Order: sequence, then structure tokens, then C-alpha cells
Amino acid sequence: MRDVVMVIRLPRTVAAILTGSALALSGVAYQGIFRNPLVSPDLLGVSYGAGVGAALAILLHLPCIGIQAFAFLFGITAVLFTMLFPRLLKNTSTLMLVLSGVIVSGFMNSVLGLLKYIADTDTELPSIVYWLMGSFSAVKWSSIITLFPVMLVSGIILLLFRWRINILSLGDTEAQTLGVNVSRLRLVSIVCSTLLTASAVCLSGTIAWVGLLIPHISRMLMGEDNRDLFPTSILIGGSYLLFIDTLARNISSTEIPISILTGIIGVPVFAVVLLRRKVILQ
Amino acid sequence: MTKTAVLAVSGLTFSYTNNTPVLCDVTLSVCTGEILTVLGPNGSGKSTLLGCIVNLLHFNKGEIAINGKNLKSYSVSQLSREIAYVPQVHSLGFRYSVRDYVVMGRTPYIGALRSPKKEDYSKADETISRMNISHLSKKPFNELSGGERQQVQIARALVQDAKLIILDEPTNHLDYGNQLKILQIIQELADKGYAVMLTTHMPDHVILLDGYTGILHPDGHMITGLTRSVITENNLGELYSTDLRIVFVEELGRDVCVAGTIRTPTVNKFFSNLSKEQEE
Repeated sequence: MRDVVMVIRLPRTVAAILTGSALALSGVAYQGIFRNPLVSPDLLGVSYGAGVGAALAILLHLPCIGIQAFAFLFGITAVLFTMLFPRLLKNTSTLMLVLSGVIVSGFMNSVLGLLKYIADTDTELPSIVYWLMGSFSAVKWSSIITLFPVMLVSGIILLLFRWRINILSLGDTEAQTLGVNVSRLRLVSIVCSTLLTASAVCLSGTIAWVGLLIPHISRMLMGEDNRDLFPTSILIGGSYLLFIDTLARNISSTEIPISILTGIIGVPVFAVVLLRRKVILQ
Repeated sequence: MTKTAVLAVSGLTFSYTNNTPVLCDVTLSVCTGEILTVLGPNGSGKSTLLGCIVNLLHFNKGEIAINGKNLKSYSVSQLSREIAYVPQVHSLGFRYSVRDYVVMGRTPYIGALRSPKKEDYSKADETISRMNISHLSKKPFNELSGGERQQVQIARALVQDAKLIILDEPTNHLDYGNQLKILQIIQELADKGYAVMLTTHMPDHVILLDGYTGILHPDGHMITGLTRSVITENNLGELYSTDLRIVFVEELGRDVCVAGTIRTPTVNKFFSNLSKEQEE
């Protein structure tokens, strides 16, 4: 009995809380950095890159730890490409960065399609598909212990910068005239958010909607000041994914992939939140 | 006694990507307690000039000195303690209260990893009440009218504790009453010892503010001098290519700048062409 709790249930619970908190925090940070409440942590391609990494590792028959390592590294690499592209074009505007994210995500998505196409349809393809839908069933203490420091440090850095990220909402020009080193602040925040998302994806596979939904629920409760919004998002994000994972285990005799539930529950909730807040899309 | 210039620009030349210069050999200075108003038609480079002064744009030639020190020797954070910039009236992507917006002006004095403390908030509150906008303090910035927003933006610039305040078309998009209210505030700032530089489209505002004027021509050249000597019918008529009159109004005891007539040959021609087209 003790083993069931310590080896299976507890790591899974911890992983769900960590992943939910990380995705929600990186989502709310991205929304602050890009001054847009409808941005999700996937904006710069981290999830798509991670998907390619995981699929490649599955095709190479690497063990679980190999899949996690590949997902993490490819996720980070995708964001690096996204950030490098505007520099090559000598246009470092936010819009260029977002476009570059679209390009890299699109390319990664095609590569993922190719990998799925050449995968063995009986063994490899189902693994890839299940990984892409997210699950906590394979989580072990070892991966939590490896990733926790990364998440903790990135999370603390973002929390410390949360008031400065408020200033970015004034626009780059004004933020700079107020003494904020805009490009440095944005770089640090993007790096931390990317590390958080990549770590989360590592633990659970890709999980959709958390990074968009949770910040909006937090905004509805706490207002739009990042000083309140960041801690609230962490708490709600963690509890939300713990709840979803419990549902995923118990709703039917076989386990349901997490992304299916976050989509089916999350999207309608998101629609209601948007309606209630009457978000003005500019 | 010569006053020290807070802002001194000499021989400033700027062009976007190898084209003809937007600013050509611009020289100006603003001392404490003075107002310099820059007048120029659309696209003449007024915003570009301000962009160079707040170090957002990198100019090709010339020098800008703030308190006698080269602009390039200031870090981003140091410069924000010397120059406060008031942008054109705009709205925010997120809902912040007026109080939270004004306290953002304290950023230069708050460490990168910190949030504003009690002292910062009391400074903001003090400025808000001094400007008689305490009733707005808790309202979301985005729900204010244009005139209210402009006052709040000026309050934010004031808590920045900078000697030089730069305003980009502060009377734009405001109704007539609010335009005059903002001008009054600007005059008070100068009287309190701030060095103030602003851009405007209204020659009559320039006359009301008195002080110094810079006329920026579309070719990038600028004439500066005392408003009385620069604002002449000749200069303005040439600048806007319309019939402008400067008339002394005895009741007011000042010059006013008004349009002579709008029945110019160009306007008539426009309509005659239009009616011809309709006939065809």
C-alpha cells in the first residue's frame, strides 16, 4: 500500500501540480511580455519543438529518460531558432518575433508530420500520438527531481520580475523612457518561460489550453496586475491540473489523455470567461 | 546671468535608411523654467526629433547633451531620471488603475527585482492630489476621457523627478477646453522650474505658451528663437502654404493666429474638378 502511494500516486500528484503551475505561470508571463492576453506559451514554438524531439526519440527507441531529454532540448532549440531569425533580418520588433514563432512552429509541425508518416503504425505511431496528448502515468521521481530545480529557479526569477513586466504593457518606447532595459527584460522572461514550458512538457507530454485558460480565470478573480496575477496563476494552475488528472484516472476504466480533458473542459470554460470579461480584442 | 541648458542639441542630422535626412543640422536648447514648442506640418519629423532626444533613435551626426553631459554616456536607467517623456494619449493593453499607472513613473528608482513600496505610492498620491485628479485615482486608466488621460500621463511624468519633460503633441485628440487646460498645466510646470519641450500643430498654442519656438520644415531644417520673433505671418504662411494671419487682439492683449480665409484657389479648384468629374 505504501509503495502504491510513494511510487505511483505521489510522483503523479506532484508532477500534475508542477506542470499545471509551470504552464500557467509561463502563460501569464508570455501574455505580459507580448502585451496580449490571448497569447499562449506555445507562441514561440516550444511545444512543437518538444513534439519533434519526443517523436524522434520514440523512433530511435530511446528509453523514457531519452524521450524527456529530446523533448526538452528540441523545445529549447525551436525557441532559439525563433529568436535568432529576427536578428538575422535585423528587425527585432515584437511582431517579427511572433511571425518567426509562426514560421518555426509551422516547420516543426511539418517535421512532426513526416516523423509520424515514417513511424511504424503498430508500435511507434501510437506512442507518438499518446505522448502528444499528454499523460502523467509514466512519471517517475527521478525526472521530477531532475526538472524541479530548473522550474523552481525560472519560476522565482519570473516572480521577482513581475512588476517590471507590468511596465512592458505601456509599450517598448515608454518602458524604455522609464528606464527599463526592454530587450534584456524580454529576453530573461522568454528564457525563463521557455524553460518552464519545456520542463512541463518533459514531465507530461504536450498539454493544451492550461497556459491560456488559467491566466484568464486568475484575471477574473484578481484583476490584471501581475503582482497578484503571477502567484494566483501558479496556485490555480497547479490545482486545476491535479483535478484534471484525477478525472483522467477515474472517469472511465482506461485512462483518458490529459489534453482531451483540458480541451473538452477548458475550451468551453475559456469561452465563458471571455464572454464574462468582455475582452476587447484590438 | 546665463542659465544652464538642461537640453542642448547641436547639428543634429538624422535619416532613416540612407534616404534624404528627416532632420538636417538641427540646433536647439532648453533651460530650466523655459518652454520650447516645436511646430511643424505632418511628417516634418517632430516625433523623430523627440525620439532622438530620448535616445530611442540613433542619429547620424551631431550631438545631444543633457545637463552638459553627452546623451550617449547615460545608461537607460540614468537617462530616465533626467528626461520624462509624455506620449500621445493612448490606451493600455491591460486594465491598470490610475494610481498603479502613475506609480510606474517611479520605475527609475525601483530595483529591477522589486515592486513599488509605500514611499513610491505616497509620492504618486501626492502628485495626483496636487494635480486635482484624486477622484480618478481608483478608476481604470482605459475608462478615462482623453483630457483625463493626458493629465494622468503628466502626473506619471512628474513622479519621475526629471528636470526635463518632453510631451509629444499633448493637446492632440482633446476638446478645446481640455486643450487649454493642458496648456495651463504645461505653463505651470515651466513656472515651477521644469524645462519643457513639446510638439504641437496649433500656432495659437505656441503664442499662448510664449517662450521659445522651433519651426521644423519638411526639408528637415529648423528655425528656433523667441516665439515673438519666429511666429510671423511670413514663416507660418510658408510652412503651411495657407493664408494665416497674426492679429493683435486688444481685448486679450496678445497676438492671435487665425486662418485668413479658407476660400483659397486650391479649394475652389478641388471642387470644380470634382463637379467636372461628376458631369462626365
